Amino acid sequence: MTELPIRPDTPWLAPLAGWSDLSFRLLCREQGAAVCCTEMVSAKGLVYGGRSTESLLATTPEAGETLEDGSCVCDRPLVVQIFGAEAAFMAQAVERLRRRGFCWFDVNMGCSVPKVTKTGAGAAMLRDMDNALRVAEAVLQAAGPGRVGFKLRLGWDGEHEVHRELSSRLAGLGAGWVTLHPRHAVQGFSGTPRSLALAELAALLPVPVIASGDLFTAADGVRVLRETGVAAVMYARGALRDPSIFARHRALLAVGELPDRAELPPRETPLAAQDACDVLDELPVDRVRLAGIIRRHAFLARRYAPREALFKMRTVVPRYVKGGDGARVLRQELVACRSWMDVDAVLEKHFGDHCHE
Amino acid sequence: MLMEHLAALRRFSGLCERRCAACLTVFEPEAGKGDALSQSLCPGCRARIVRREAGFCPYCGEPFALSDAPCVPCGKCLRVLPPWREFLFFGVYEGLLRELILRGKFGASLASLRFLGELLADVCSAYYAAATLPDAVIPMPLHVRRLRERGYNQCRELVRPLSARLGVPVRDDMLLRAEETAMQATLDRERRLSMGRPFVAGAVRGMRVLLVDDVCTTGTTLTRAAECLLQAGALYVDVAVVARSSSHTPPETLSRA
Repeated sequence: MTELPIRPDTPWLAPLAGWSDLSFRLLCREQGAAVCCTEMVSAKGLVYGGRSTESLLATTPEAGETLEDGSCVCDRPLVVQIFGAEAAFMAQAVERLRRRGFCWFDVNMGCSVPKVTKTGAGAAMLRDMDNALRVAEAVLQAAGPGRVGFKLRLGWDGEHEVHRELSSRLAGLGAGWVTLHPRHAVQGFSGTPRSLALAELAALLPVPVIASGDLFTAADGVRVLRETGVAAVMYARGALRDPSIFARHRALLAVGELPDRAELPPRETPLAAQDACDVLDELPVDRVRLAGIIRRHAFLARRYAPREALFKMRTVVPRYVKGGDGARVLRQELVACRSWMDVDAVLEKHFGDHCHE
Repeated sequence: MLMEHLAALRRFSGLCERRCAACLTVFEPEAGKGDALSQSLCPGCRARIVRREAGFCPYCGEPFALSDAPCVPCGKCLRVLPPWREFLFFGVYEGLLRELILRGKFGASLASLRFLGELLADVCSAYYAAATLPDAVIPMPLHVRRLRERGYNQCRELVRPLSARLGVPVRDDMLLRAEETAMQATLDRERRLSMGRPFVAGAVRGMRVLLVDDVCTTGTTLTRAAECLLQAGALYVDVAVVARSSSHTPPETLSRA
């Protein structure tokens, strides 16, 4: 059995290329994420020692550390997500990572972005099951049984669904868990995910299944748990919109309801992703909570990525501030910021005394 | 002074010595402890059997990877609750506990079964101290052909100490296995889940039932048996098993030797 928390009450943060860097992970952990994944890391980049690959692996010391403001942060348990289509490179990458103290891994078999799939990696692995299994075997060999999870989609397209057979065989090889995003690769993020496939897989597999895909609010996550019987859920875009989704998920499971109503109204048929986001964006936001999250993210980003932090804020904060009064103005002003003083001034102007505890 | 001499004499006579139920060495149980673990196992073996007190699903006992995790419902039970009311178990199916169960089940070790029954009695008497006692203890039945083959029903042996401790009669006539099924332990997960309806229940209308089995993995056998009892009119069914094996552990299926 894999010694990572994989339970309904332990939501995970998904690997999010370009977003789930150290400061965002720490932010999510403080909000209640039980396990976080790194951004997608290229196995080849690792083996050849690419500089950008290096920055993706930034983390805190194993035992955590105390920051200037007295808070303690610890980036564990951490799952490193790797991608690559060649067994030899993948195994070497894992060996290198293990030597550096990383011990949990996730193999990307779900990314549908052409940049990744044209190398045969990501969701393209679903088109060549023999190679996928070779890669899996090599990675499991290097990492140890139970230490690797696999993140997959249903299949390349509607005619070639492989998730059942592939994941059963992955479990047989010693996979620790399987994450399923129930869409086909060619769908990208369009259409609606097929949660029935999650229920099937959860009943079929002898390893825990984690649900992913279109979980925009905590209520979505809890609904998937209740409808499909999966072991846990992984938040991706939902966490980007609002990192407090983890705290809300835990609260919703424990108490059964949430104090405010910033969730999608119940609906008969699932909304398409874009519609769901549009509805959510119109909902009122809790400005105190929002201000706290932005402040904290800015602090963590300045501490861990001082050079990029300003740009990070300019891309990240607009995602948090979608609806509500003056959101558009705030976004425009933020993007124009050239220094931290500007950022502080903008936040001060929009959130007033919520910014300072 | 006199007491010390008496104690020394008692120890010398070997009257308070016992044989460990697991490793068969002679040991002296600690005075003043009444639980099955410290009475039946030597200190070495005792340390190898751990009761699971946290980190499991309260509805079906599914153990989580971390033994200190909170007891929250597992994904499966969030979706559909099992048919029973209460699920009681002693520990996770691993290590020495597993060894003793296998010894009792396939090795005809009645001593092991007796000890495991005592463990179960500890668990159940603690629970029923604060709840209404059941009307009957029902051991998981074997098909008559399997019974002839093995010579005994391990669950019937397990419930002896339990029934004595609770003061509740064993009713092994209330649930029968009418259809012969392959042993769950020899099947893979998919086939385990697809069990038919092999049970037939007796006159259990209005009864509070405690159903006892040795091991629970996918929970299919217990679910079918409990459903059968409830259909026959049982008021409710509680379930007690010695060991819970995670349904997330790839089963090392036993080959039928």
